[in-house]
Amino acid sequence: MSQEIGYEISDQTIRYVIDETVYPLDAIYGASYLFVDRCFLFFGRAEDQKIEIHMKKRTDGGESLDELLGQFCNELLNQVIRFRLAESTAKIREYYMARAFLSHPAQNSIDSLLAELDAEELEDDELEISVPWEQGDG
Amino acid sequence: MAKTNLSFSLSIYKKEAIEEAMHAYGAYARFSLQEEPYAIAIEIEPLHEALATKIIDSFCNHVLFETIILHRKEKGGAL
Repeated sequence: MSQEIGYEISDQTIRYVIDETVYPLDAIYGASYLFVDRCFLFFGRAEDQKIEIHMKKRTDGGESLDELLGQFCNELLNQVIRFRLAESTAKIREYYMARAFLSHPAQNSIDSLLAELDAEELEDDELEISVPWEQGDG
Repeated sequence: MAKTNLSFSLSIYKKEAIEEAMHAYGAYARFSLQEEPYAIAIEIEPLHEALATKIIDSFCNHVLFETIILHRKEKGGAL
């Protein structure tokens, strides 16, 4: 596994370099946000577009460091997909929101229906059929 | 007590987040901050020798967490 993702462990700390062109900073923040309660994280700038992750376990028990890193990498991928999806659908979401908030015809049709109901109530019944609730004392 | 030097890259961490974390951990460590062109160098001197590593690690997590919160606020979200 260490050869696949190229990490090194020393002093109970795992070091792993990730490429920012593959994993944008937003995705790294997203994954980190979910892991700060499980491990200690520190990021260093290894070189341009490369971030070195320093990960340390919070407690002695539980999963091993490389398992933790594997889970973190999976979450990174998940966050990248969310980020890319959000980017690619941003325009259509903005369009839907604009339609929902700014379109007048929907409101107009509700207004016209209400006006129609008001008009009906005011009209007299041509057949003058009496209804029980209109029959008073006289 | 032993002092530790950390360099927080400004392309990853926010200065406000570092200051906020320094304020939050003021009771557990002494800090000195030095601004560099692309990073902020922090010298930490934990006040409790037995908890020194934990204090430093927790401080780094706090800076990261505050950075994420600030970053998301800047982008128009809350958390």
